[in-house]
Amino acid sequence: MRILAIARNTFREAVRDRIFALVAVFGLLLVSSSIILSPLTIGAQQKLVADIGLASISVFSVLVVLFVGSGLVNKEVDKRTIMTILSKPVSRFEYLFGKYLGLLGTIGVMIGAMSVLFALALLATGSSFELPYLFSLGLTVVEMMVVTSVVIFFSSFTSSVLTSIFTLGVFLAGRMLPDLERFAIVTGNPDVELTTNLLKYVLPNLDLFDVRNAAVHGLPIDPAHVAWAVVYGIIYSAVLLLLADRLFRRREFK
Amino acid sequence: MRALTRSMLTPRMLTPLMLLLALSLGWVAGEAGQRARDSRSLVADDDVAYLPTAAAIRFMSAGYDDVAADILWLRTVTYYGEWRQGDHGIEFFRELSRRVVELDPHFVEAYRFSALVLADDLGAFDDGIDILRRGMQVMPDTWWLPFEAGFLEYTVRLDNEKAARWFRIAASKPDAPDRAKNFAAFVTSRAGDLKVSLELWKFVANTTKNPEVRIKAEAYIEELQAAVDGTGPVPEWVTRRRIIGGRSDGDV
Repeated sequence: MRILAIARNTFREAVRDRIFALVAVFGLLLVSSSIILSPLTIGAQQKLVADIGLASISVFSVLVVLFVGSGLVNKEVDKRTIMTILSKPVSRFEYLFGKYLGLLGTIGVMIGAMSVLFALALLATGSSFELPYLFSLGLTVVEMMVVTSVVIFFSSFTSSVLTSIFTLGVFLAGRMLPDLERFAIVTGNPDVELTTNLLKYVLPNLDLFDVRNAAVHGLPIDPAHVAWAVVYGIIYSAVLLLLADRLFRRREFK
Repeated sequence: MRALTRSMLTPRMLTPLMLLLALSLGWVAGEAGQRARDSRSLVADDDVAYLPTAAAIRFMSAGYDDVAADILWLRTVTYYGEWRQGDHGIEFFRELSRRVVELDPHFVEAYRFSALVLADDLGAFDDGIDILRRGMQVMPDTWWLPFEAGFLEYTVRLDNEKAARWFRIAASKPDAPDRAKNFAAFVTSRAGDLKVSLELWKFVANTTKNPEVRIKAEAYIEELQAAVDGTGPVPEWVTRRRIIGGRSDGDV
């Protein structure tokens, strides 16, 4: 109950900050790209609209997690409102988890709204919203679950700016994990291989959540892969939130 | 300074910041485009001359390789269009199209268009077939790619035997339409007939979503139709290809 109250408050705060104006920017981007690029796409307009739509939903969501999430805890620390909250019967875990759920709820609503605009853009270009797109969007939500837990983890012990930088770094490294593995094999250096292997188990493998290409080309998406990605996302986020709680408990507020 | 950074990162500032960023990017892109157009005669295809490898683009795109492929596809199409307008050569088309399919190996339209341009416009027939083979390795069940190979063998290289073989492969694919199956039979029984060539171009014109291919197909259809009806001569390109392809007179 207390967690939900914090989550609701975080969501309201994001809405008050006009975060959903980004959805309008997204819609504008989709419509303008469909109109401006259509003469140049020669035969691939629907693919381009689908690619741009799905990728933009992912990018915009990451941006919101980065910008909103990085200040979520530290803003309250700076304003000293955190002391008022934590002086009440609210545990530090409840506080962090509430913030996490609130941000995730904001992202979820945002992805939902952008998905509706995406479906409309597809219909406008003579295409239709297929089931694989739903898989792709669903996995984007799970990916954001992980990225949000990363942002909460860093914001539990460091400043807003560093949280943004570290989260962006983890996001990029997580996205490029398969490339890092290939890089380690190519170098043949045992130290690099050891470091990469270590990173492989520490960093989130965000490539697992990327089925955009399969969705756009109508390729079969293995339901077992989707299920595994969801389980992985939940476990990774849970572990990171528990670690964040450990670190947040040690933090002192003056 | 810390307070300033903090205030810059508040969500309230996010939307105007992003809009400002988008406008700035738009302005920079516009300026860069204008400069590129102004200096086209000097550095017509500078940007494509220094094209990074697909692995490098994939790494830089941070997992958004499909969008990178789309951007490169748009550049490939404009590069082709600029060549058609006589702005520059077309020597980098091969590399551009290869990068597109390396970044997005399921991009069927890119394979088809690239193969046609490579074989027909650049005269690099083997490269055209190679790019289609690459696509067939990734998408072994797609009938379009072997069909395109058969089409190019029949209409560009004028090798009926190979064309028939490709058409048979296309016809054996699970999603092949009856029309594709008909061509396998046509080419085997009426090899070298101008009418088969005409039908193939008509089929391509009616099925392609690519306006560049349609324009090309319609031009060929007009010439072939006149030759078939006896109201015009056998097109010059047919005669030229007969000599190169070594096909006997009367064959296409």
